[in-house]
Amino acid sequence: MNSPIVGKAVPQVTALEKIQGRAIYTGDLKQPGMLHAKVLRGPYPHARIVRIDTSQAVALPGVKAVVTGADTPTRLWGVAHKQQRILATGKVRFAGEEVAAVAAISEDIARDALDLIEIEYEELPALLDPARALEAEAPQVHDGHDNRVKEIRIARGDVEAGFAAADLVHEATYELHSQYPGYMEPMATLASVDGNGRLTVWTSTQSVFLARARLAEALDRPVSSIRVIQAMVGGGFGGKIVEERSSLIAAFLATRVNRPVRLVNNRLEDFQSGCFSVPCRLWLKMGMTKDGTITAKDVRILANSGAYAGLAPEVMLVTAMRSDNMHRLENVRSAADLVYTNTMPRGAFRGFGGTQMAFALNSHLSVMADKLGLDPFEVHRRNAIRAGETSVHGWQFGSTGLRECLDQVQAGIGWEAKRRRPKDTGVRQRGLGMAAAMHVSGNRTLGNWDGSTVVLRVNEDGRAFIASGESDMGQGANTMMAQICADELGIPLSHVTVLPPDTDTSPFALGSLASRVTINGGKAVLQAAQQAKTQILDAASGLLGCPADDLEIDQGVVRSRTKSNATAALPQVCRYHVFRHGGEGILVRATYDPPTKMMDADHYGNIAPGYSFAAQAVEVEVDTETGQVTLLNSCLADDCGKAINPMAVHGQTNGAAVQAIGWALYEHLQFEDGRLANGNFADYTMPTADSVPHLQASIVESNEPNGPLGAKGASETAILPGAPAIANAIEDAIGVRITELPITPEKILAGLRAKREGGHA
Amino acid sequence: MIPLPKFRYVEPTTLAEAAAILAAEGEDCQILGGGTDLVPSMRQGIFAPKTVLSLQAIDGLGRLEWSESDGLSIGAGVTLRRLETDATLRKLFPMLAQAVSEVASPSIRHMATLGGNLCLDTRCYYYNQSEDWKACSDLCLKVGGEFCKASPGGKAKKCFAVFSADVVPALIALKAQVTLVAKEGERTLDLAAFYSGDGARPNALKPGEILTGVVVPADRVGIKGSYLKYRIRQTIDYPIAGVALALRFGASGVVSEARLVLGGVASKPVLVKGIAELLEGQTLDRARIERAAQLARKAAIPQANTAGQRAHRKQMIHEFTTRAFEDLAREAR
Ligand SMILES: Cc1cc2nc3c(=O)[nH]c(=O)nc-3n(C[C@H](O)[C@H](O)[C@H](O)COP(=O)(O)OP(=O)(O)OC[C@H]3O[C@@H](n4cnc5c(N)ncnc54)[C@H](O)[C@@H]3O)c2cc1C
Repeated sequence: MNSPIVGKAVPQVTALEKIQGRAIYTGDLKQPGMLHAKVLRGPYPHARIVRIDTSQAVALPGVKAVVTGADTPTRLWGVAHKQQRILATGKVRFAGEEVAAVAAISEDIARDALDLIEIEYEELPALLDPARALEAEAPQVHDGHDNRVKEIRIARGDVEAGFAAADLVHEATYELHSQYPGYMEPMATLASVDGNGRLTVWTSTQSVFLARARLAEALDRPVSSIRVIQAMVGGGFGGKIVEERSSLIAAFLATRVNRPVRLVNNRLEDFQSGCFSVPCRLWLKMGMTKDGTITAKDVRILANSGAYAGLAPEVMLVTAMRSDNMHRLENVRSAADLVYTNTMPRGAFRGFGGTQMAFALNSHLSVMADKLGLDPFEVHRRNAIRAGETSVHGWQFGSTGLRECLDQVQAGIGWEAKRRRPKDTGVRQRGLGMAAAMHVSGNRTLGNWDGSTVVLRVNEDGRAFIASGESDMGQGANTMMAQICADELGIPLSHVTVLPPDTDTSPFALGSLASRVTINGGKAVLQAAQQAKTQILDAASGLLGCPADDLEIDQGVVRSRTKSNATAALPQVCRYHVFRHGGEGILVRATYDPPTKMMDADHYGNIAPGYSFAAQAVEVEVDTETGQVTLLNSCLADDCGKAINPMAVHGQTNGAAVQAIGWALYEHLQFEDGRLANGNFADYTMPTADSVPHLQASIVESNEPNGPLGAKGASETAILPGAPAIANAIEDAIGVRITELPITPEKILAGLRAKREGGHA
Repeated sequence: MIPLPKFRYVEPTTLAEAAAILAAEGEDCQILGGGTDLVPSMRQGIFAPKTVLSLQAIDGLGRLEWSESDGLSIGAGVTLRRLETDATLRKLFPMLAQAVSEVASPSIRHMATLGGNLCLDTRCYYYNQSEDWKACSDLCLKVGGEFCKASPGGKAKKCFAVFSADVVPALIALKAQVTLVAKEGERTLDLAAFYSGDGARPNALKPGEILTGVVVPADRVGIKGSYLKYRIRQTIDYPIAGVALALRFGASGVVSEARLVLGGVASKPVLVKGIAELLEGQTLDRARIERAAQLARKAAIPQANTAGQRAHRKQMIHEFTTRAFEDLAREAR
């Protein structure tokens, strides 16, 4: 093709409306008669709700509804653990849990009404420390259940034999903390019930169909009585998959008042209710031979689910085993326990549990490489899994760009030369570190499927419309789909419109999670566009009197490859198609069902059609007197199979690098008696432009056989190596190994002190 | 966005008019400079004044004048952005320009005024919280409770909220004078004396008083100064340890004047005692710098009410004092 659109760095199809401020987010939506909702949250991490008196709030002029847990459907909702009502009943299990909600004619009145709700609590002993959760006398978060949410035990090969065969065995414990997704748009929902009782919900979600299923469950009504439409989404990072609760509250209120109700979190409310990543304590032991071959890996995890289970069990499973698949391991063992505590629910977050293990694993590999006098790049290369191989957990690799990622970042950062330079001895000391990781592109888990369906329509003017239930949360899914479609149909990008996901009209889809949209949704678009093209060429064949296989579409014109005067503009062909088929336009549907295999009870399977890789090398400078760490350079390579849009991939890669810097160095949730003390952006310090060095983002195209045009997922993989690369660089700089995140100046100075005093850092 | 409580907004055009409104309305009226501190606090529910009185239309509060007899006169309404970019100020008092440029971020400095920085409210984890958050347990002293929850042991009857304006330590190091105007008249005092050390009422403003500006005396020209700020991120964040050092060097490197002021480590800017006695008439050497840094460390009383651990912040005061001295010693050579 002359001007391929795939592979071209084009601005996102949503860019113009966004920079003009004209993109319509949920918080911008208004409807006639719309009410505003506000939520009252429980102040205590654990308390019995003794009495609620809403009478004064109800009496406030302008208030249309005040609801408490007692009003909500008794059916419990949840991902695997059905355990929540729309508002807390009986007791609150974390500080910030939603207890009552108000709908009023203005936000001010709704807020004033909250102040008039009287609630009497009886404080209960709170379980705040996950390490205490399994003790016999620990408070029970869910009455009548012990505090263990899930336990995972995986063992393959012979771990003890592996350790026996090792020349070096290293063990350490890591503390991985929780991160707030920090998306630009706090959660927002507008819900409305029509005259027939149908409920329509516009919401900021990563998945309209999962949102619908959750609404149906929580509201205890048929799925088809609910319509969910995705408004423009200002970022999700996992927090808007299935765990947030405010959309349920908005929808419930709408059903109570039969008027549109809008509920928009402010930042504080979003912090209080938002889904944070799963923190864990992770003990890791690994064995290695002198040449760097990993002989065994043994891991124990204690992860904190917070007050409810959500996706945290799935997240912990990823922490427990995903990274095993990037290397040729044989002997692995994982024992992971997830526990409840009286803290905010934790769950999905970009990387989905991968960051936690990536930190431990790469810290470990760096230490072990040092001890054996090896280069950590070589250790990764030596163990790297290859295309065509099957991993210890049954994952089958059609493409692996790990080695190329390693090559690119090693060269990009200037590893060889910088490693050879003499160590700094002054106040400021520089160091280099690297890390590598893998992620899935897709995941056959929910209901043993992971497919994607696309409906593609080409109008009589030759322009295309894509209906898909997969969703763009800002990451660029719509642009990716539009590019694949435009490329295949030979039309300009601007002639493709991707419709907003709408459960009434879009084909069923899981949505934006597990980095699955490009590989699965993109593949469905490609197949649909191929079908549409066949129909177009068939019609053109009739119109031009040439065989279809002699025809091609190029920049909106169908032309014969052999007869130079046989051309027809696409609108002409498409109109012709409509007329010749009794009015039927070009309307096709394609489904891609990836050839994957769900994990069995023993967690063995081949869950994704493709697996992506990333490696990162960073250079840091540590001020040995203040303990402050500055990043000087970062080079991050993402194996995305094929960059459908290099600009979007770079954006994702750089964003991931920054989010990893935040997790490693700056972001730190502070609690006071179980209550979040820094739920604002002045005190919860996300990295600013100033904290970020020049970021090099490079792309590895390993050409995934299952992917559309070779593409896999990008972006989640890229967040994985940042934090351990930084920790490794710090050790290289000052000889202090930090195993507990975040890496604060205090910890650096304490480590230096311990080193000076001859102890172990 | 968290909405603002309702209030009446007034914008008098003369100081007399402003003073009259303040006198009439008392504590129900709050002064607005650039609003970068007051407005977020109002959103959080910390203040709900009936009237907000903006100073922006008052002539004269925007003055920024240098004269060899009267020194540098800066009106309360001058924005920080203007201060940091003013050529005269940068030339005569580079430390002041440096301190100003370390405040928050460029967009905030475009709004923020000098008066607001000088009258900045103290901050604390227990105070800068929503009403709901605070209502969950006993109130802290600053909002009417019995004890300061940030104090060691949580049982002090004095408020330890931290004063963290960046510009103030630099101005105090330069012996600035501040002028306060009320309906009854005006008074001028040393800026150092303007701060009380009580986190609950951090400054000497009486109800009805307006801070109209500061003067840096003309004889401060020639002073070498350094302002160093420690914080989590290198932008936006408040200082969790700030050091303003002003030295005058005489012949052959002998220190003829020395003043050291700390910010972000107490409920007021701390003028470190004993510095002049230690250094005046002496040359700077390692031992004296170390001694000065120890005095500074001792004078710092950070509490567990902001980012950074207490011991670490004391250590950073030590470290940054040393660095400030080393910077100036290098300049003096
Ligand atoms: C994200 C963020 C980061 C910040 N970081 C820093 C920082 O790093 N360093 C720093 O020093 N500050 C920081 N600040 C605080 C603030 O922006 C500055 O101190 C600024 O100079 C305040 O000036 P203003 O004119 O905006 O004050 P305002 O908000 O208008 O006023 C502050 C207080 O002073 C009173 N006041 C104002 N003018 C007068 C007057 N003339 N007479 C009497 N009372 C008056 C007001 O009533 C109010 O109580 C930060 C603020 C934010 C939001």
